[in-house]
Amino acid sequence: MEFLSNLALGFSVALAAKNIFFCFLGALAGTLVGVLPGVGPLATIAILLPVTYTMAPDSALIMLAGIYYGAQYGGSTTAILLNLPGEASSAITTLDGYQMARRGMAGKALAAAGISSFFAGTVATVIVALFAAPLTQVAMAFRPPSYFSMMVLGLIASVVLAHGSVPKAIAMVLLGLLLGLVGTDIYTGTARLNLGLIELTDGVDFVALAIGLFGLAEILRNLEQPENREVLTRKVTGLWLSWQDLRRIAWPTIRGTGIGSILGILPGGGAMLASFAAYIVEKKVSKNRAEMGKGAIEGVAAPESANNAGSQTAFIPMLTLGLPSNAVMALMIGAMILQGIQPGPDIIVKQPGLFWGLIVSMWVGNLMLILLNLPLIGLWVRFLTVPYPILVVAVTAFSAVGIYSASGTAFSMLELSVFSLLGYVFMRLGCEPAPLTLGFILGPMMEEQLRRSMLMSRGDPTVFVTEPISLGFLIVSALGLVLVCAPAIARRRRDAFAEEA
Amino acid sequence: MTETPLRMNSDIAAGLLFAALGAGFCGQALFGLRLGTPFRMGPGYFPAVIGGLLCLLGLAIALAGTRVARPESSPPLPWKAIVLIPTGLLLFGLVMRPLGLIAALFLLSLLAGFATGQMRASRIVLLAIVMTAACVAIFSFGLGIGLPLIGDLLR
Repeated sequence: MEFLSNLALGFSVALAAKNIFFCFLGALAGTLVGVLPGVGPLATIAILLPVTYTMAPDSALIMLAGIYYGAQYGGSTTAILLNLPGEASSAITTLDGYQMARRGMAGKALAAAGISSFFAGTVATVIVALFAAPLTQVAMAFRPPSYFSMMVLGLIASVVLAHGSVPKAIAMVLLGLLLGLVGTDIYTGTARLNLGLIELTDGVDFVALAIGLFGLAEILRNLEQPENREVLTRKVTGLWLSWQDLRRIAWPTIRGTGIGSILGILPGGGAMLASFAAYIVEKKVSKNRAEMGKGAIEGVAAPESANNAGSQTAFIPMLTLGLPSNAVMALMIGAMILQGIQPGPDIIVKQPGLFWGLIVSMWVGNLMLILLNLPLIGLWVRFLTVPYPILVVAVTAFSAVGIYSASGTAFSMLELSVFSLLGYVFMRLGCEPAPLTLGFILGPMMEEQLRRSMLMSRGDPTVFVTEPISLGFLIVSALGLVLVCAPAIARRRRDAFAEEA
Repeated sequence: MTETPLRMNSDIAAGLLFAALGAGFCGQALFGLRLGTPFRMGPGYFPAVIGGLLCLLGLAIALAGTRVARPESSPPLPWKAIVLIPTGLLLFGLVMRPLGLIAALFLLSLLAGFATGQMRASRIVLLAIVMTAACVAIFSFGLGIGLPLIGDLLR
């Protein structure tokens, strides 16, 4: 059984003492930063990214994955206790979670979120393990034109599924592509697009870009108005579920896991779409649908299981194709590149320990979260009440030290400042920063595949439509764009996102 | 027909910003780099195409923005933070070598504290001291990064 031996290899890596420690540390740090109001998983990962520089690649990625789950868990805690989603994917949890908290059932809501997430995480880990290897085989057969078209599809999908204006999201993708090209042309070694600055020869500092756009820009936005935060529950009790509660959440959790696993794989979808879809389905099919929105436990279990499953299956395209399906995965790929690993189908062959270790650590991380977080909930609640000024100072100082320790140059601080301000301007102008990150990661890869394709075809651009796989990707991309631009669907899409907000 | 005066809104502003950035990249590629042919693309080919697309798309967004006359109310700009946080970051980078990590962290924390505009000066100073100590403990002693605590100038 190849599958079992692969899993055994994964366990041997994930259960190595140092990796368990880093997984634990990541989950803990992720939750800690994730519960801080106004700091979502993206900002959390970006801020903590520099911490992993000096580690071995497997430990670094395992810790980052731990940070990711932890941050997401922290996000659902703030959603339930504060009515403030840490990120878009737990926005829907606020509907029933906060209502439960208001009725004195915060403990029950948190326990339901934890248990359904753990179930979803377990199932999703198995799915990732089962599908990752075969998909890698498929990806190996791709030729450059197919690769290029697949990246086009990935970028289009991220635009279709992003919030807000489609043209602005496309523009952000294009800008991301351009920023990714800054530095040195790999074919000729020519320095390019660097405004004459020698410091940009190695390209734009990815960590500075990510922390600026997601971390500090968010800080600036939160300082626009004096904060307004109400902690409902200072003491959370009753962190257990009765047999009856467990029966009530069983089916919603299973349905949520299924929906989340499928939607998580889609480019651009990931956790946010998954939790939203799971909630809608539950509202249609649940026996207790009348209670939904007024504090039904199903309304917590379904989206929480879906977003956890989705956030894990999102690793499938990332690990097998090197294609980030959302901004978090873009950050993970950025971290891989910083570690000297080129993401793509080669990883499973060249670094099987890393590949399977990361997959198994997903499950270990989920187990740790449930063991760690339910007993420590009192501590997290105290973090919810950290005054905002302290948070601002801490995030700024952490970001600065993290980036400087990696780059060692004052120039990286200039980059950080520029991206903070740029990110803030984009937020004010209604432009989401996530598509830009995807573009930034994919820019150099797309150019490389484009140039290879054209060399292959001797400059004939029809190669993209004569190669069947490539044509398929392009047709789906075109359909996606047409659909999102069709007036009727554009309206429904707007309503859907409005309801979610 | 009554002519409504053209008002700046977020679509126009975003569109013009994209157009300017796209034109900038496209210009750098067109005038500074070898373009090559589609068969053998030079370093400038892909950036020139993408930059051009971004410029056009930006103009289209701005143009579409002139048709919506929606009044927008946006929250006031947090000027203090906009000025003080980037200044603090630049200062951090500049004083690291001569003065060292402790001084750089203290200055940055101080400016970030004033940027919030929600605290008294004495508390900001206290917070900056605590934050400096915490960061030194985590990064220098915990993670063992090699930044000197005291800079060249002070030794």
